[in-house]
Amino acid sequence: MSEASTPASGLSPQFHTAHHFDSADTQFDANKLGVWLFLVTEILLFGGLFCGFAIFRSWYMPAFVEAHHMLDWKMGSINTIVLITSSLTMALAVRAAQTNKKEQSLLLLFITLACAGIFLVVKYFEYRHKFHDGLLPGKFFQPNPELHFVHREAALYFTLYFMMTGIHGLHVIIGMGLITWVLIRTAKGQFSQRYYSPVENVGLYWHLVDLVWIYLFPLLYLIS
Amino acid sequence: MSTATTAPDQHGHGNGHERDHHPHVLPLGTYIGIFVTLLFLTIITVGASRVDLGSANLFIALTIATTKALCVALVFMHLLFDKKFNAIVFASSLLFLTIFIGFTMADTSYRGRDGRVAADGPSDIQNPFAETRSQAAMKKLYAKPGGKEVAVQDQAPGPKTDIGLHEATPVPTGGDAVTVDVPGHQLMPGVAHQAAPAHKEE
Repeated sequence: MSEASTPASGLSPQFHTAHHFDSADTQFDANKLGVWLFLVTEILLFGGLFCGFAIFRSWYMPAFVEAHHMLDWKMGSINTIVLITSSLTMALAVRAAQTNKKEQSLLLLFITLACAGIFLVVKYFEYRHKFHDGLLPGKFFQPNPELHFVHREAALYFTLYFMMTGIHGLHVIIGMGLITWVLIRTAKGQFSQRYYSPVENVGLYWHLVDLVWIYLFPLLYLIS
Repeated sequence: MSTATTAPDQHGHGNGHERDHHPHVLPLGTYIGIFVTLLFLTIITVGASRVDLGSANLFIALTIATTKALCVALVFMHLLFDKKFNAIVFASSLLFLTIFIGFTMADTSYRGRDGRVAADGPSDIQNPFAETRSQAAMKKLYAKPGGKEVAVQDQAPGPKTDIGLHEATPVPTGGDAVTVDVPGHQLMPGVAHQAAPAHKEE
């Protein structure tokens, strides 16, 4: 524990620069870099799924076009707007932490959580509709005959759909957990202009979740 | 990285080890502006997808998506204002992703072309350079009256859209239980099959 470094301002009293860093700036930068390296692994994770999608779309174009019409672009658009809003409120929450505005930060983090919740609820309804129509991944694909599916490979489309949106949804849930953690720490008064790394870094993760959806949405919902 | 904040007199300055980090705070207007831009681009991308522009649709959608992604990455994620190294790390992931997807598609799109494939032959032998069989098939498959958006109920392609474009090259039949490995088009059970004999369903 470092000795006697209580700042005169009383902001973030629990925070002391760790010994192995020569300054608070270095620690801040190192934290951020670490999170960026993690985000790179996440980009490549989703990238692998996108690559699979690209391959099978080029192989089975008619099946993919047919299956794509089963997705509701309106619900997808709502989800897109909800996530973009949550990105804004998250970024503003970081800004509020940077400017010592605890209540504002708390409110914005709550709104971010609420947006994430709305996203998951809309996703739930979409999934329920798919289940109801028998549009399930791979070998479980038993479409409602009224939908007049012609191509068997539509099953592959739904495999990819559920994997991509599912893993993305898992990231949303994890993000909600992280935001809750940051929210609790904010309520305890741990963040200020002296120290707000956790808010910023969870914000980076959350923006990545939004980024992935920005690509998922057109590729799954919009293009034929 | 550290730039002055607006809050006065709240630094715990001591020796170098205790010098506080000073955040780089962006104006509120910047965030709102980027948010509005993102919403606007979302509307554009949805609107553009409702219009059938053929293969340009994919390109436009990806371009708009990339623009939105840059808005989020550069401003919301602060890459524009950070140490450059973070941006380099991010860009490197995009570089590797490009190589990954690019090389894979370059391979798979042209795989299995030992010789000529039936689908690449002319669809009309009297006019051989007009159109290949696969192009004609795609046209027939996507021809819809009244544009792109067809309601699910109306969308009964049915057996009529089976245009006979199945395995382009003969598949060695090791008995009936062989799953078709080439990118042919397997049809749903019950969909009438015009050209081929008993088609394996799964």
